[in-house]
Amino acid sequence: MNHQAICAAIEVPLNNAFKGLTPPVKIFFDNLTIVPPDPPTEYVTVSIAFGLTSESTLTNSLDRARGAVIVRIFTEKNRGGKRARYLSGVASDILNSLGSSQKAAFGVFLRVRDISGPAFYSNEVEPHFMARIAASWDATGCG
Amino acid sequence: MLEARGAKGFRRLGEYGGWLDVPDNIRNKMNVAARQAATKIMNDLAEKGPAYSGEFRDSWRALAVDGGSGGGNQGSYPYKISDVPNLKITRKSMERVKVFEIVNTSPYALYAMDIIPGRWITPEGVAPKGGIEFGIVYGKRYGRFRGEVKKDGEAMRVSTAEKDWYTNYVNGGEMSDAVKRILKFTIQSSASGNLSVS
Repeated sequence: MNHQAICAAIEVPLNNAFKGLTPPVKIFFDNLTIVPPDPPTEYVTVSIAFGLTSESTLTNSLDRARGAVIVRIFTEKNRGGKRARYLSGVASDILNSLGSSQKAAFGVFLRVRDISGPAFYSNEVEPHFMARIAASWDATGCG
Repeated sequence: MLEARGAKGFRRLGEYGGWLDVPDNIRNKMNVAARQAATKIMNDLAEKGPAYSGEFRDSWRALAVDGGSGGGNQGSYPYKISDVPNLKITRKSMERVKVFEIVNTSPYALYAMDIIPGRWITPEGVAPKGGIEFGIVYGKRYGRFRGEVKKDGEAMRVSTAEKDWYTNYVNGGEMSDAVKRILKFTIQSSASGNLSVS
């Protein structure tokens, strides 16, 4: 199982979706791009965590991984929740679309399940309004 | 009409299609299994989660959704089954989709679980205990979430659990795997005679 391939299967569609918006929304990935100390007005962070890398109770296949993906969306504070809800919808649509294609003979086949959120958060200290989406993913390697 | 006759411990449950009645001893086994699963989850959370002072690690509680039928101490890590309340073994209670809520009662739980960002200070005179699975990482803070500390020999910011450890445990398959293992074990260990009805 190639962990990098799993990350790419999640990160690339999210990156394309947010960069394809008008205006494009900056997106930061774990250990790849770090949010600068003076962050933009709105941006998105994506964290991918690996849970079980094989699940012997369900299948004999060792080439199976599960984990979580967390998308955090930061928008301008005190401007209402409309923008955060819209961007959350973009992220949810992409996560839902992952795995909608048929399993190929080679490569990583990934499905996202159980999307929770968006949950919204802001306080007086933090400079942004935040929406958070978490989902579980399940990947199998082929070929 | 489903009605258990002549078997001690059975309850008459009235007209109900599609279900067989379950004797009290099996309900008790299910009660124990649910409590064992809750105990396992609380210990997993304590082992994966952060521990600076240790208060967060010792603040996991299992609450019975139906109010329970007694028991359930305010324990600390390592949690024991006696820290989880007994469930009522009525049919209504046993058929609930959700039987326990596991909560952390520390005031900064949402920060510790990487759910919300915060401003971080290093408490003076308190040495970090360190996460049981993660240990301690000293480094440089690169974000406002608890786990956003990057290992760096010079810097002295502290992380005692992996970033997003909680979401990963809940969504990444480990929690469901833990529950499956407990239930499988309980079903196997109760298979000898307990299910037979004479």
